[in-house]
Amino acid sequence: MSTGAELNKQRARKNLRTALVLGLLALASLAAFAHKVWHLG
Amino acid sequence: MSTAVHDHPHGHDDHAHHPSGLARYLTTTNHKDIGTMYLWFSFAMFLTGGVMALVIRAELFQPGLQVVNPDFFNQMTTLHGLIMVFGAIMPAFVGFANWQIPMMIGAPDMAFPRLNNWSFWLLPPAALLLVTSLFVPGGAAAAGWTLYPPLTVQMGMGMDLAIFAVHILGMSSILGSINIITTLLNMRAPGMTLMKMPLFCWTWLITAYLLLAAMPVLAGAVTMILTDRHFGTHFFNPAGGGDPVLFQHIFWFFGHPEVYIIAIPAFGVISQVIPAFSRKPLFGYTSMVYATASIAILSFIVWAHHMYTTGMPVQAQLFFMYATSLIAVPTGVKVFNWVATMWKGSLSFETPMLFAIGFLFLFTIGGFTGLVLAIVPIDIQLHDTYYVVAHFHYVMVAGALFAAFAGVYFWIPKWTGRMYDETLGKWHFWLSFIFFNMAFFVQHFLGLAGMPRRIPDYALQFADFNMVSSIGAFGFGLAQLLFLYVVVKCIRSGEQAPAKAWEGADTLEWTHLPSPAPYHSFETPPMVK
Ligand SMILES: [Cu+2]
Repeated sequence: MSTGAELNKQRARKNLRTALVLGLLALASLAAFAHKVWHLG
Repeated sequence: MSTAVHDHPHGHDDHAHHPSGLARYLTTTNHKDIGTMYLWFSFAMFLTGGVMALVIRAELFQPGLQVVNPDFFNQMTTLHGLIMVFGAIMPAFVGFANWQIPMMIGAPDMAFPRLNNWSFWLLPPAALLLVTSLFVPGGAAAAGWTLYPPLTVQMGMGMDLAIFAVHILGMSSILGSINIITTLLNMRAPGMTLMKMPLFCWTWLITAYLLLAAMPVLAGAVTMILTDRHFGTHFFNPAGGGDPVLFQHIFWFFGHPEVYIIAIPAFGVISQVIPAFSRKPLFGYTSMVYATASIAILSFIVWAHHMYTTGMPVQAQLFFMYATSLIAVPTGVKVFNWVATMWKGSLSFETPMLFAIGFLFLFTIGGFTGLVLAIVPIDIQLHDTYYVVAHFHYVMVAGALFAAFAGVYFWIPKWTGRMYDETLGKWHFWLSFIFFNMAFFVQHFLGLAGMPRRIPDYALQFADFNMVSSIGAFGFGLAQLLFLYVVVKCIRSGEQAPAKAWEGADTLEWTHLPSPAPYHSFETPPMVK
């Protein structure tokens, strides 16, 4: 495997980690919203 | 798993191994192809929403009912709003993001090219849902783009289609945001620190976070309407212990940030165009970044300025009034910086700069009328009048749309390798500028005189200004056909554009790439000093 491919792999993993955090952020927004609505009644 | 850089260690042909025709666009993972698709999709939606606007203005040309029946009129106002906001303006700026962000930060592509393809291809089905909802029994959603219950709980299945469309559009936006943030955080070329990024990239970084926080709330809100409609909940039904005003809180908690989701990338485009045609660096870059971030944060604590008349406590009215007024500070910083960039610059007035200056004048008018509406006692007079319609069209059309035009004229030499017709571009600007003001400036007077929005008929004293407004609207619509002609003419037979089409443009796509930008760019990242 060439170094270029290895670097690509690393970058892809880093990108996935970032995306995971961002996805959790969106979910947190939804969860905060659901929590708020749940406690309105 | 997608890899952004090709695995082949040695270079390869620009146009090697990608399918052509429809298959190319269905399967493409190339940020430039996807950017092009976003831009053409948004233009198609712009024309669709524009035709709806012209139906509205045709009906309002004279008092009385002439053209459409009132129910269809309401469907037109609703779909016009939804299509323009979610189908035209937002995808236009995502199109800019796709084309420009990788080139501006020296990246080979977006971080997730396949996700990028999916983000785009979610859009056409959503648009189809909105447009075909006109033909289902009961017609399309007709409660206004803000989708307030109780109307939205009572409507026919057109409403369900609109809800599903909003779900899909929200999904597309969230996926796109994740992609954009990841690209900006992880894919920058060596030496391209965050504070060296062109301001357009900064505005998208901030906008993507706004989308990530706001879109799930919208999805939640419309889901609550859906369960109220079909699954026996009573979130918004007082008979079951619910509250219709609850929806307004949730909607505007999304809706006000949405205004900035549209406006902030527009600020980004303007912040590239004005320095280029002033032949000076952007004045106050750092303060621009902080001002943009401040606007984004403040946008989450001002939502109830849309709801002063719902009977909230006066303390709440005061809070939202002051918080809203506060946004004028960072916005003022931005306008100051744009003007200061032009100050003593060697200005030239090609079409992108004309649209940028048009933006500066007209968006500022829209900002000021926003401040007027932020003041509680005034808003209680003007709520749901044409003054509000005039205000937000100054922000959305003369703000966001003019910025998008500025961006297209600015970057089309890089995208196509060809120059547009400068004379026709200037005609497009002046026709748009004059007819826009003709259509919308008079609406301030109509609102101040008390004409309510979202009605197909009106009292006789409003007749003159409505006629002026309708003529302006039709003129504005026709001017956009000229825009289409200019773009097509540029693509087919424009003069060859140099790599650096504008003397004052200094970002990577102009300094490091030929025109047109090759299909794959920056596979080896540039060194940024
Ligand atoms: Cu607002």
